[in-house]
Amino acid sequence: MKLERLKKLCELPGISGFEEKISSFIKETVEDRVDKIWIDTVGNLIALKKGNGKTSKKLMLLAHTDEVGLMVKKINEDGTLSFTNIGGVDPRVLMGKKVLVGESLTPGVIGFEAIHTQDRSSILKTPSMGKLKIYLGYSKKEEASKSHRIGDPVFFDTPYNEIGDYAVAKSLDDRTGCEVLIRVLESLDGTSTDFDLYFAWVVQEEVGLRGSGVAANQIKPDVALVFENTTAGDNPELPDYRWATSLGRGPVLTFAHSGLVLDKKILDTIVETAKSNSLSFQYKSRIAGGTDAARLARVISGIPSGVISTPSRYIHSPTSIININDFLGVAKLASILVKEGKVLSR
Amino acid sequence: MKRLIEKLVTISSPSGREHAIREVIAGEIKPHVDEMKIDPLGNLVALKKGKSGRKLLFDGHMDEIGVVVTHVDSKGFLRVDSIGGLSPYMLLGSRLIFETGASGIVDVEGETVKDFGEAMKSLDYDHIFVDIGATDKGDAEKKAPVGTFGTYDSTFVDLGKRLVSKSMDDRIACAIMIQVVKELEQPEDDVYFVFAVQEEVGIVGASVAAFDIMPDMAVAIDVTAGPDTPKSFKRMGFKLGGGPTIKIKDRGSISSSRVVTRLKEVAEKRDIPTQYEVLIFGGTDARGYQTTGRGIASGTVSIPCRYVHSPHEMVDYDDVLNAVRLLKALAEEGVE
Amino acid sequence: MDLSNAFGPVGYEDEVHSVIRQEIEPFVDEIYTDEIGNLIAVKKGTGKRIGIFTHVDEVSLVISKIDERGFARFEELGGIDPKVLISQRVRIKSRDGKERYGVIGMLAPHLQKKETRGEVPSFDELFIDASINPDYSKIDIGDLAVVDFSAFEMNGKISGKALDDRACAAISIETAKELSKYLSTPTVYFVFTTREEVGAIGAKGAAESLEIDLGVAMDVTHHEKESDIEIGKGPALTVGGPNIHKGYFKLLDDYAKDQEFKVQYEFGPGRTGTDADNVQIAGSGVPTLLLSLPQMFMHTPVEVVQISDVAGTARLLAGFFISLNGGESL
Repeated sequence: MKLERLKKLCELPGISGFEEKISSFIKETVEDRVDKIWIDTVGNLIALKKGNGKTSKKLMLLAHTDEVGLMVKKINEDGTLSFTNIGGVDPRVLMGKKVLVGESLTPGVIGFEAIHTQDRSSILKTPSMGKLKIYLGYSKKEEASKSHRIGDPVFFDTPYNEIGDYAVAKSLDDRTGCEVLIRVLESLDGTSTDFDLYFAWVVQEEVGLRGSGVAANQIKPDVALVFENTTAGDNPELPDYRWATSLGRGPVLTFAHSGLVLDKKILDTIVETAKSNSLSFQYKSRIAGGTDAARLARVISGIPSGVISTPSRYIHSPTSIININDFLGVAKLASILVKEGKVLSR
Repeated sequence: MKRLIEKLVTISSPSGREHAIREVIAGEIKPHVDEMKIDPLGNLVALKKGKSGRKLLFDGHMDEIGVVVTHVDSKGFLRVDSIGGLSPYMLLGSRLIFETGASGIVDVEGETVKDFGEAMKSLDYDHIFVDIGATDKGDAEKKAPVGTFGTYDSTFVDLGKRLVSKSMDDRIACAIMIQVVKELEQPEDDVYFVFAVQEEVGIVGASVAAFDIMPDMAVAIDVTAGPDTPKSFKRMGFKLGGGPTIKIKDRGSISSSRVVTRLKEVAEKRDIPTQYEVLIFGGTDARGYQTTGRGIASGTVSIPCRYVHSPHEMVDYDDVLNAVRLLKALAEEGVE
Repeated sequence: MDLSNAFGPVGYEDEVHSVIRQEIEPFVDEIYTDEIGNLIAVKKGTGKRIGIFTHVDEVSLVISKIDERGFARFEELGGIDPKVLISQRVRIKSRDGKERYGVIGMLAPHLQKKETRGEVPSFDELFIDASINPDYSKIDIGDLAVVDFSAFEMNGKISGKALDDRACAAISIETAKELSKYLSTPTVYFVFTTREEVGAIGAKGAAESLEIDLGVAMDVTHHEKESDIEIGKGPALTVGGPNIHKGYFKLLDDYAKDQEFKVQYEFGPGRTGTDADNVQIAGSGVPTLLLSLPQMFMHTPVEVVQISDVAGTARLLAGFFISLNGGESL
């Protein structure tokens, strides 16, 4: 296993609103390397590595700890659980899957009616979320209610696997970003930056970019770098001019996405840095999708940011794929940018 | 071998009317086989004896798709229905030949521009008719009475590496088998050559031909699709010129893995190019052998073919030659 | 659960055969595979000759094309709902014996146009992303794939792939174990058939080659409110109807009631869509019965059966067979 810690991060359950296990794991991992570390009221984990004071500027690195998942909406008379989505989850990725319910991580399955008994004309119709149920082996409401309740979180159950240059796992969005931040911190061992460096592992990005603004308000950074996980559209059903990004071409730089055009100066700095260090990169070719940068731009007096992402196939499903080299490219680029601090000069 | 192929594909013998083609095949193979007989359904079965005590069976179907006259109208026009999967669209612009020798041309009904358009959108046999140049009903009934069978008229063209004709399905297999009969001198096992009837209407002949033989392995030879034309079926990956295919599955059967493995072994040993095939529709005589009695391990070797069931089916001559080599090799190496 | 996890697409059930052989060997006299690929275990006895038919092929996928980047198109082996394939991990087995991995992916929904979100991709639009394997170029047409799902226990039930019909194969094996407790039993052929999912082809061949007085097919059936069949309430006996022998049915039904076994009933107005179809009309005809194990989510990777149904049915069958010979026990 090349990325042991990423494996650990991906396998921990942490859907929006239930990120504690992720935050505590990261806190334990990094607390000896930072000067100050705290968890705020909504659950963001924030750490500070003080600079040497040459400048009073502040740089914030950000990634989100939450993944998409489900939540129990109702316990049905027959002992099954009805649910709704937390974050963007399409019902089509849910059928025939094993899930873990509640803090107890009880295993269950989301099945579907056998094809033999379905109406022929509706086999290819997307079922509504309400039509799907979680079955845990109970046959009555009373039995299920003993261990579960409305509001219980429901997590995907996918083991992290590395095959060749690729990693297959759940929640690569955005544990890859979380891991990039940890690696940057590690790469600064024994050195210091001119500026104060903040690390924000924020919550609830998937349900409306909710944690990042709260974190930013406590930090008030001058510039932010957001490390995300973005969609690769490089599958055979799409012609290549419609791919947003593709695996194997390096870290993804975004010039614009839903709700924001990213700061040009920061983008140019990132591009120059990548080029002068001979690091390959690609641009995100679709405007769809959004990140915490859109929130940051709208808090305090607006925080300009750059977005660097690891491309990933099949995001927001129980099984996504990244190219490990792309991910390492992001981590490397991030370390160089932080060490040089050029993004702060505007 | 091109002359043999031309000889076979130009004969008109639809399902249920295979006597013409059977005679020609029998004439070709008789001097080269140890035994030959015609079974109750009309299958032509020949045997070349081997030494191992085991039995191998090759199958190709003699019949082709066609039509049958169902009605003669007062003006001498004919109505027909299909024998096997002959799409009415393919008939428009084709010439038909009937067993009586009459030639027919097909067109569509349409009393108004709208009717004509509707008929063309979902064409069926109820809305087409055949003109054999008869002057009236009496004349037509002399030339092609009700019950007369017909097929596409012959259209053989030698394009060098590629050959085009009607009924490559499945005369190309018959040609291959005849060639193997002629070239095979030292079979390992007893090799049965079954020229089957009525495959196109439901794999009839092959369902029973082997009942008295019960070979250790049966290999059907048929054509398969040619999904290498522009924007052809995106799910299939084999092509013309890639070699005879070893079929993995189609909608009729899943080839016995023993047969697939043995064919691949023999091909690799003798350096014969082959490709694997998964066909997302269709079926072959292999299904008939799998369901004969207690079951026979069966598979199919296919010749990639573009425009199947049209009057102009195209195969690659090298694929054909390699198929002959492959089957001959299997017969010489034996089923085990 | 070992049976569920074994790799056994239609026509390629060797791995399953190994698991079965291991389990059943101590309890039978002879084991062999026939021409078409069925695994048959024989327990020699006296009196009646009975055949138990359960199929061990699972619905699966076969690669029909693979492109230069390692994305594969596929065809189904047996009937699968494309909806349950999305976002699944698959195990791909190639002719060289090597297993590789794939993911059946779909473009992230929030990037899809509104019109496409209401529709599930069909087999023509789905693909296996096998590009992650460094040697993906070794994957060829004809390689087989099954969903990578490990069976697990859940409250007295088991969820896993291929419980259709391996759960019944397990019942067949358990029946062999139960029968070994008796001094004298009928002759029983435990037939583990191939190719049931594509038309009960294996069962036809097996039934024609064996001489039996009674054929008992076992398959799974839908746990369904409408037909009043539920898991946990015992096997469903099919009341015929054309496909079932009424005489033997009455004997089985009476025996079950007599011994107070929990059973349910299913109606069979014609062909049952199981091995029973071909067993009954094989050769000169075989009296046939069909027992069905209730199951949820048939043909998905998360099929569910109740463990007690499995054990209970085995005891019912063993006892019933003994009673056919006039009854006798240890």
